[in-house]
Amino acid sequence: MADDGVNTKVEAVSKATTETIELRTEDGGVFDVDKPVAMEFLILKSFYEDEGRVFDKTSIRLPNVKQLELSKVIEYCTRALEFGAKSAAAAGDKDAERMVRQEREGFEAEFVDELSNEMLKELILAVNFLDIKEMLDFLIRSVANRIRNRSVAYVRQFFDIENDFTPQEEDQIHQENAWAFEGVDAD
Amino acid sequence: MGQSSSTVGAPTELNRREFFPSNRFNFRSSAVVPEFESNEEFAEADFLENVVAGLDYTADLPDECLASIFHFLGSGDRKRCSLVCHRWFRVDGQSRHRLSLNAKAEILSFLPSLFARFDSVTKLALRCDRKSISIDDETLVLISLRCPSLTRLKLRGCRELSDRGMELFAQNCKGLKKLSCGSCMFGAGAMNAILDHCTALEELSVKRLRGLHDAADPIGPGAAASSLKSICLKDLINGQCFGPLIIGSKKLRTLKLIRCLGEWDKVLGMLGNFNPGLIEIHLERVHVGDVGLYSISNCSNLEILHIIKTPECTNFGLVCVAERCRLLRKLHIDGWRTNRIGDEGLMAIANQCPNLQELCLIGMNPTSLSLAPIATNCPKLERLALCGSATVGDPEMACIATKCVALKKLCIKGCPISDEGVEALAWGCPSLVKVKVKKCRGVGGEVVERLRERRGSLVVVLDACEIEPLDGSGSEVGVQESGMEFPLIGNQITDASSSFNGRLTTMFRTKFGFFASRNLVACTFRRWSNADDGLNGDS
Repeated sequence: MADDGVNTKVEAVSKATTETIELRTEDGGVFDVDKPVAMEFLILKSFYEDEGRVFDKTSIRLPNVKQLELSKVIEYCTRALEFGAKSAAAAGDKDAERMVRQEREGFEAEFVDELSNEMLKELILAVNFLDIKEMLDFLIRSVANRIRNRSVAYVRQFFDIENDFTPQEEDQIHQENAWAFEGVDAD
Repeated sequence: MGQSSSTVGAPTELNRREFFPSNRFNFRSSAVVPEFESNEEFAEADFLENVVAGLDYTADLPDECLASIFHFLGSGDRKRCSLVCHRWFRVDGQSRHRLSLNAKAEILSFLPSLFARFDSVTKLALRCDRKSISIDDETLVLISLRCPSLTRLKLRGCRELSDRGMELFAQNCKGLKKLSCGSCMFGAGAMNAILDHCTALEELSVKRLRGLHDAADPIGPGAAASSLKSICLKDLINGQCFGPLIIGSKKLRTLKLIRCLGEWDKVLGMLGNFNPGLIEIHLERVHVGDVGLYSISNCSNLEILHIIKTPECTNFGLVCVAERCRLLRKLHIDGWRTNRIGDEGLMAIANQCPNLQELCLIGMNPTSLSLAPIATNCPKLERLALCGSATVGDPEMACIATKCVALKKLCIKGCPISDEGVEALAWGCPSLVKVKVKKCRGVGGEVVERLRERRGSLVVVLDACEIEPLDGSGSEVGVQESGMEFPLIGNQITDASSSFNGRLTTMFRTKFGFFASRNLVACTFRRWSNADDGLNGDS
């Protein structure tokens, strides 16, 4: 769906000099992405920078990414860049910095709340492929948050994982685990 | 590019660390590339490839992604993750770098499988409770053979370990950077072996080492003396045998001596000559007087000084420090109500130490005579705590309010201030972020409300209840950076005339339980995370 495509096109129009690049997803989506956002995808960045190519208006096909994921990725990265800029502008002003931080936390909480488990996993795969470190960290933390303090059975169900342990193996692991303390030692 | 998987070879010959790449990356060819259509030839980039089909969502994720998820979970959660399936068990085991084990003798039979599973441990803690028999030398050596890349070791209550066992351990784990041992029975032989073999050692923390009797050999300098940055000695009878190590550690930055018997002036007398980098010294309940303080003042780069319950230190000693340690940033003094350090010493600090950032005074009686110059002359003062001072009242609060322009955090405890004093903060201390008032009988809840109204973003804590500011900005800004360590304050007023040594001996007889039965009143500022034992500093 071209929602973000429209947004980025609008941006492209309003800042006439902003370079964009066209990205095509495997399921036929077409996105015009601003260069700053696209350069967050290290897979693209290294392609351009390492190869010494000119950032001309080429069309790049991303066979491993679907349009739903890409639109989410573009949304997050665009906002992340905005927050980065706001943060930089607020530097030194503690109140302003705190406001930006809270705004970002609010956005991230909402962003991840809307994601199903399936979508979260798909996004991780897409972001891993595109090599966007900051977003990958964010998604991984979100998964950790979802399984923290949950039972083994819950986690299995959450990821649709089959228990491939024999009862004896499980028992052995329980015994071993008993030797390790729960609390993390302070450094 | 992110966490790429390597090409999977024949399915039967998978390495333990082989990844399981995704289904979805399998297309027409075995090498999948994004297609770059342009006027120029596109470069072919090698990305992911083959397949192992999996029903579960995480089968798609490379091992490193899964390990990253585990990294954000605590030990208890990781245990549960290890029970989810074989693959998770393997990834968790391989990505565990930090392990804390119950070091009872019976663990021996589990060790082979434990360390086959956790094969990348670099930080290990071995704790044995008092009632159990601990691991012995042989077991420790076995562990050391399985963890050759160990960088940190923490031992607690491993009473069966001897000098010999520690020596063998040291020979196997030469990359050790941090050692913390408490309530063990080995002695100087073990310490010297560690110092000789672990040449990269940076932090050494020793507490209650029973093998360090009066006739113990001297310890150090050893090969590690050229890398050691931090030494912390607690509850030792003959800590002075570490003298050669302390003096010989040229890169020493931090020295802490806490409840260690005997005279320390001689060892401290050598400080500064060979330790130019010494910037942090903590002395707590040790036999140190003005001679010792004078020696400390040789460390002209000193930034952090704690003198806690050392009643032989007087104004004279503090003046020496003030005059010669101009870079002083953080100063904590617990005068133990002996009144030997007061305005005179503090005025010298005010005049000579303009970099002062953090000041904590407990059981002392400073007045405006010293507080005013400190407020005026120390423009960087950000954190101030005054506890149990009979001389700190409303005039002193007014002085602080008007003059401490950089102050961010203020804690007043057990002082005769009243509402008026607290109210003065409404118009002063423009940088104030948090104020705590505890056990001040003259202060009521209403003034706190008024303060909150006038200064919306200020966090005000009155005794036990934390009152959040209205605008929701109550998160503790900047608490993560250095908090202030507050030693426990006993309710009992100490008798200044009783002999210091007598008191120390009594303390030792009751196993340092001087405050054990008292009704403890803990100060509320955030403690260092490892206030009791363990090591400070970054890895």
